[in-house]
Amino acid sequence: MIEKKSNRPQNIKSTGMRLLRMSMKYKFRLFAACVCMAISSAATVRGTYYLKPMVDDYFVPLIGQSGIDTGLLTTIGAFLRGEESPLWGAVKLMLLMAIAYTISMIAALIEEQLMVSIGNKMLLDLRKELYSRILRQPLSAVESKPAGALMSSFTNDMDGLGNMLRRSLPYMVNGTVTCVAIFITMLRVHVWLALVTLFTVLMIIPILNWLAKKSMKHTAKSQVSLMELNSIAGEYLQSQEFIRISGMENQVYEKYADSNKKLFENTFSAGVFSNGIFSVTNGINQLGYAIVLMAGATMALMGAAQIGTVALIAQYYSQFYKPLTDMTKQISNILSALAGAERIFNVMDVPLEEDDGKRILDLASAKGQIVMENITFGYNHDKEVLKGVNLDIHSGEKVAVLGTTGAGKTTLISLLNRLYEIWDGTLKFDGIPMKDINKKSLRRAIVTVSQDTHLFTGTVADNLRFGKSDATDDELWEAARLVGADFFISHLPKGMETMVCEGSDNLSQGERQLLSITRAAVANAPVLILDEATSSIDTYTEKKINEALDMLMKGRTVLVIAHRLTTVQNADKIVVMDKGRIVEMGSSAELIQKKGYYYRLINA
Amino acid sequence: MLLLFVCLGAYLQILIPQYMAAVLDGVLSEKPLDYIARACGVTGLLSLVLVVQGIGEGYFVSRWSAGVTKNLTDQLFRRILSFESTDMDHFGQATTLTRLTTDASNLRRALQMIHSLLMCPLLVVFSWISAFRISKDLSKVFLMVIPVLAVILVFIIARSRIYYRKMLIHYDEMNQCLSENIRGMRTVKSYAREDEQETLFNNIAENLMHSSLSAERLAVLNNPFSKMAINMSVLALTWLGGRRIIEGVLSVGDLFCLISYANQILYQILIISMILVPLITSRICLDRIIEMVEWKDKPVDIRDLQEDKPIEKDHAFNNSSDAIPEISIKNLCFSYPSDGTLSDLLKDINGDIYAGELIGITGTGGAGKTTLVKLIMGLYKPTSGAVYIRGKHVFSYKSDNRMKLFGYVPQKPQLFTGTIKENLVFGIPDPGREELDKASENACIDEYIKNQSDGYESLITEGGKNLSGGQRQRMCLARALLRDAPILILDNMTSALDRITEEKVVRKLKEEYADKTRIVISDRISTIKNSDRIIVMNRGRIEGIGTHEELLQSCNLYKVIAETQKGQIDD
Repeated sequence: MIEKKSNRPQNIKSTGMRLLRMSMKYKFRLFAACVCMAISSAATVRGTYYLKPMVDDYFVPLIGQSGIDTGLLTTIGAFLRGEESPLWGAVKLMLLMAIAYTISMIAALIEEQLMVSIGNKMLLDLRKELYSRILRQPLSAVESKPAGALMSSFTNDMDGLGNMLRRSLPYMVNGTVTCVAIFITMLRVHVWLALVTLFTVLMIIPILNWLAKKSMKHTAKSQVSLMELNSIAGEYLQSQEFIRISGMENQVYEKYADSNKKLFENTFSAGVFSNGIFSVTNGINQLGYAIVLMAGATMALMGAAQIGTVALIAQYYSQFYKPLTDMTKQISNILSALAGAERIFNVMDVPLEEDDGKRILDLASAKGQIVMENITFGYNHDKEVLKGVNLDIHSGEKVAVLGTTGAGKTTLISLLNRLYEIWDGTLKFDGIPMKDINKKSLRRAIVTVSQDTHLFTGTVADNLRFGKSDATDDELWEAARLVGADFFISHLPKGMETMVCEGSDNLSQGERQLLSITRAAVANAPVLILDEATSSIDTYTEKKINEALDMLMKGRTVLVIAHRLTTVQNADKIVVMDKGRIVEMGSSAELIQKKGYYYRLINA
Repeated sequence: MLLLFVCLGAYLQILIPQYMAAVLDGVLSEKPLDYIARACGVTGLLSLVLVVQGIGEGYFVSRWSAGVTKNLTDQLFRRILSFESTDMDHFGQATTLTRLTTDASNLRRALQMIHSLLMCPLLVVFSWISAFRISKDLSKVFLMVIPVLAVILVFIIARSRIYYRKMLIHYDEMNQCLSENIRGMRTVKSYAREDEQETLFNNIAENLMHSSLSAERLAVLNNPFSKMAINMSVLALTWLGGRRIIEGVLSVGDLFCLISYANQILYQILIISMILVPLITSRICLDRIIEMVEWKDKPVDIRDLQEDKPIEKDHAFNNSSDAIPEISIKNLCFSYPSDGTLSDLLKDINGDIYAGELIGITGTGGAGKTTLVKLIMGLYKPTSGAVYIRGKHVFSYKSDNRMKLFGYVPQKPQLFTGTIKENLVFGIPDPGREELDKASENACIDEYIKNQSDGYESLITEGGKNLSGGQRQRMCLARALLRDAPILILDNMTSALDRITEEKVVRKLKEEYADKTRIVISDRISTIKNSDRIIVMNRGRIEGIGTHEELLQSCNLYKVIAETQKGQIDD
């Protein structure tokens, strides 16, 4: 099931304001950019203005006059010699035009460089903050969403936002400023023609509006279709072999083809509308041009305007319309970028993990005694997974937990380091209620080893230092020796400095497990939580892993979901769980006598 | 159709300035109002036609680009579905998905712009020709400006590609970091590593920003340079044109027309420069997609697979019965084509399995157990030797018939987004509620289903995320049982089950499905110890065959495995 992403921002104003506030960090650069923008627009407009006097005052009056030397160089030469030249004025105007255009280009250059810089830096700020917050939100916030959705916020949504900041927004503002500047100048040149221009522009707005709405609606639909299609593709491709074996190719293909057809229709209509906006604007541009020209010509004939004026207005009109069309194209980009920004903000605004605990544990003297009183918990608010669990674990005790799948064993051990918060009951560490202990301190005192080894891109040493950031190389080797992993590490291509990557194949599953155990050994925490579930590893590696685990368990308080008989038999206390409750508890001998679940399990 | 519209559009855009020029000249030469009105009217009309043209062009381009992409992706998906396992191994899953999704999207976007590739040069050429006709001299201005601008733009694009490539690498790094930290958030938090991971990420994000900045700083130079080129051309034209106006060689309207053309040409060059990079990238995407679509389907030639070596008696696992074996394996050898190593994954496997037998397969990790059953099902072509099902060569069966022979539970449970029922009846006609219940009961998943609020209509999400490992396995087992196929192949289907459930499942398999040939692969002796015969494999060869008791005596490896596992209670 796809989360239907709407591509319409729910609250443009607040999202926009928030982004604006974020940009205030760069207010000086922003201000400079705006100034440059203004200069650039003004200069362009001014430069073009010189067309009018050039035509009206020089070219037209001199038509047909013979004997005028129109060479550029001779005119300049004449000026330098102090002689009169009829075209000197025009040359001057031309020079002014050139200067104005150059100023405009330089200002535009500066402005664009500034905006690129601001846009990229803002994006960096956003990425950093988003990541920082995700790291510190409760685990439930991350684990409840599909990984793909969070990734999408960092990639697709950020990209859209980045494009908006770097391109769409500057275009929009630039375009607006230019249009306003042009319009004001037009008013000063010839009021009536300016008004005619305004009229043609206003004419187009309702049409554009309607087209824009349609375009956005269809674009949003096509985005959703695309996500659905890609999700189907992803899911089925993973199981391609199985599909082939089941002879299901045809049915699966039908599903894909149907979804693809929907995508086709949506993309097609989206394309028609977005292309439509562009071509309609273009066409009406020309139409408006004709109208303005007609009006201008009429006025010229009536003597109410000079030819130069008309030419100028015409040139202004074309300079006016191009930014306008660019802007309409950017509107949908901006809107979907804002929708993405909203999604990002929604993720960011999830409240951070609360930590009221003030006490810091001293690891050296910690005893690792754990008390669970009446623990009730569930992942979803409507379903309890643990119901009133009570368990006392003494310092240095080894407690084995058993039970059928789904009994709540994994859940129980997840609660100890407060990755999830219990609904009801009390947890105590060394007699101190856990809610009074600083979470980081607590988590450093409790180390977990499970079947899901999670390694990170980096060297072996980097991964081992997860247990203790400032561990020396000696400490790392000592830990490796303790669990028996030193041999295999020293035989890796670069030993401790060998690069490891989560998805890569350079380590086998068994080797990963050993690293994960070594990592826990580096942490050297007073309490160890262990999930012994083994996957299909070869017997030799399994033996090594079991030995490593045994070494790791020495001298600590251990809570283990046991899969090995030796573990259970060596445990000080055995706990049997069923449907979220503890149903049997005691030593191995005691429970065998009871002839309950434990007894049946051992003898199966 | 599209071409027609594009050409029409180009032509119209050339005509229009000429009519407008006529208007201006008309004013200057004080032609009667109706002349001017007519010129304006024609302009207006042409504009409206342009609007229609634009809409038509947009319609056809959208339809075409969306249609081409749809056809390609349909083809690609179908092709991928029919990939042999060796084909899939050749490409790898990651690139297969990327080609189907990212590459296709790139292509679609690029195709939407492709008409510009025709339109822009067309407009440039038309404009230039018209300009030339108006004034040979002045059109030289264009000839000077265009190459200069083109060179600058090409230079900018070429340089920025280097930066963009670097940026993409950093982007991938960021994604990798994100992915592993989001998926490994539990580990990060358990080790209280939030601060350190934040520092790591910040470094990567900053690298990304720097390379992105370099790329964009360069790319963004396009605009001002182009505008400058346009404006300077207008300037040059104005001066040179002005001179000719005075000399009476050129009319004001003509100058105006030329300026219009200048604007047009330079604008088109700018557009081309902007769409060039995405178009080039999309070409790469297109090539990748087509490569996969056209990947040769090497048909299996049965004659290639005739066995030519004599059967080695001591490694055969025949029974003494005279009946035609259900499955017969002769001199089977296999190694993955992509494997560079010379050693075979499977070597000289021989033996027969009879209908109704319960066969267990176990051995060391990587021994080739899964490979063997995949060869039995005809998923891979053996390097030499053959597999016969019911006396016929496995590849002589038509694909769909062959698949009907097997009910398969893969090592990694595969479930799909949908209801439980949809997953269970995957690939077969609806067998009815009774059969569903029977299969669920035999797979020991009936209790789970009963506990769901919607029973069989309950949803399974994202590949079975809302079920535990053991529940997924049992669901897959139920699905395989429902197929009612004569041969059941179950690969490691109890690894996530506790002893008690495992024992139940194995018992049901033995009792309820005695009429089917059952092959069970397991690392756990407990699962297979009651099989009719057990095959022990090691490094691609068969080390021993026999019953559990026999093997404990005769097969060393089996003894070792059994010893190690004596300490397993596996809940």
